[in-house]
Amino acid sequence: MPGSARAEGATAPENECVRCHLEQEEEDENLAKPPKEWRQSIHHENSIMCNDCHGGSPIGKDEEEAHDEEDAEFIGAPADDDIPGVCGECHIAVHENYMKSKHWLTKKEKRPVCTTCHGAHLIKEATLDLINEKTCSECHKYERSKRIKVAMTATEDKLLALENRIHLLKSEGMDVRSLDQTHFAQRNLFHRLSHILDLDEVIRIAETVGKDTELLSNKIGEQEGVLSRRRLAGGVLTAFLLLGALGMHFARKSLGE
Amino acid sequence: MGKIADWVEERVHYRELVHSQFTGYMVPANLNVWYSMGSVLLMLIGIQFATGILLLTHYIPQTSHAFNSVMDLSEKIPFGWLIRRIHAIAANLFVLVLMLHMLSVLIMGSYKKPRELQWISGVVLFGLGLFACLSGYLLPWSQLSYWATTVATNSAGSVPIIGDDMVRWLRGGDRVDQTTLGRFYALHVSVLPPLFTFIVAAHLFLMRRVGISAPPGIPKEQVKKVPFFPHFVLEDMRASYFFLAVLFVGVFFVPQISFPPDAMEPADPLFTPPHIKPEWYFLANYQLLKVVPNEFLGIGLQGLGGALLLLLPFLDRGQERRPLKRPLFLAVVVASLAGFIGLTVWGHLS
Repeated sequence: MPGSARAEGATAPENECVRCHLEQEEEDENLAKPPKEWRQSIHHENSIMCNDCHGGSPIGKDEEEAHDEEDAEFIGAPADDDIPGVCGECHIAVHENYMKSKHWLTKKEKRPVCTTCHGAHLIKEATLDLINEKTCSECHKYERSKRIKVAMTATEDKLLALENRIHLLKSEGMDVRSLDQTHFAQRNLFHRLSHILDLDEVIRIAETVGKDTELLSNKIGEQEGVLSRRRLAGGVLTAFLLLGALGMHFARKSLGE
Repeated sequence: MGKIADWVEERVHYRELVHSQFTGYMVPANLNVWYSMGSVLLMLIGIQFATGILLLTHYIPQTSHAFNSVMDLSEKIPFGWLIRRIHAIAANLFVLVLMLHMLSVLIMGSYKKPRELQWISGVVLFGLGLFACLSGYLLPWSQLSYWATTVATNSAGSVPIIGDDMVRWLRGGDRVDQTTLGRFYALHVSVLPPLFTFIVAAHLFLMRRVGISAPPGIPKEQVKKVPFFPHFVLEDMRASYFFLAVLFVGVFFVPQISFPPDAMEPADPLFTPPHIKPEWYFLANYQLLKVVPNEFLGIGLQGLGGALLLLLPFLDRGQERRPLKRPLFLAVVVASLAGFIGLTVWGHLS
């Protein structure tokens, strides 16, 4: 219902690409597979649509208009070597590190691109679990990857614990904007490491971020203290009010009718 | 003090006024706790006016600044967080107490002749209260307020033929944007408060002219009387203290009632948060629209319910006020209440 006021609804955003591909499931299963996987992805969760990566017009009235290479800048499925560029449009820092890493600098026929580890459409939030023996040993020995993972795990755990504490404060109605921003910056700096593939650099930055998390932890602790003090004040105030109600009750009773 | 009081008395004659309105104003002695809901509501209106004025001193009604202005108020202004929380949670409490007040009036048959105008003014206040909540809900321009307002205003689209136009009229355009924020802000701070004040004043005026209706069961001439002050004022204060305690339990211990995580994020018209729903007092209407297969039927049922409520004193003209002597009416009230609670819970869980 384009153009309708009611189209501004509460459902997750979808578009003509998704609708049309899903409608053709019976004729060609492969056409429906990408949107079905996308619906379960972090991209769907963050409203990153088909046309954001593949180009094309999400409001095209037919297949030709939707897939017009000139007007709609449709690129379809990008070639392997073009994939980092497509993903790097948004993931700028990761792209920058990846282009300097052995993953990109290796021989073209051996080169893993973003989709090799993250998948194409069923992309989940990146965690250290992506570094695992099964995936890494498809191309090389796991030993070096494992050392990078170990070096990152302790700091990653700290960041996750801080994220949970911030979320808890937020769910208590506390303003956590500055804490969120600091955490986001630290996490981003840290997650970029996974694409550097230089063990010494990973250890150095992991230590730096680890120290920064201590500072952030102290700031979160201050907010947790504020919350506790507010609750104590609230408890005292509520108790006084209930005592006041009781006092009024007895005062009224003492007057009789 | 005494000389000052005498000086004022000579010029204002306030002692006569105090006597006629408080110490000499006699009310039935058997008024129960339900009769204090009106005072609790007056207290909550006062709280809303006071905190609303304080919020106004920092609020910026522009989509680019609104969210930061309320968040900065919470973080940088001393006790700003407290003022904001009280305003938001007292709004919820206001709707709840207003519902309790109306329920007690329904069950005790206090809407009957000669109190038809009081009932109508009460129903109008209920409608205005809900509209004040809806318009105020958008103002922080958070993800929650943006999308809940989008969902709530969508409901008007269920009306056939003019539905989409009604949605555009409410929003001032196809979508919730600066125009919507501007008109909701104007309504919330400059139209609804004076309207509220006027109708509350009319409601109280009518109550004083016609008198408080005593609980049913005892013949009017046998009802004992007590002075409004101090007897009934103490009862009102007891209820007010209790509901203030309830308010502060919400403010200090369960602020998530009004401030879930989505309320702490700025509005993003391009990203719909999952499971967004209207506030609890609109959940029954929201769920009814989802359950009834025909949207117009859903809206029609709600309109019919509202009209029946408004015109109730003219439809139920019997003299009997005792609830157990009106089994059919009582059954309808209980069934409606169960339906409302059931739909609200269903809407919350779905």
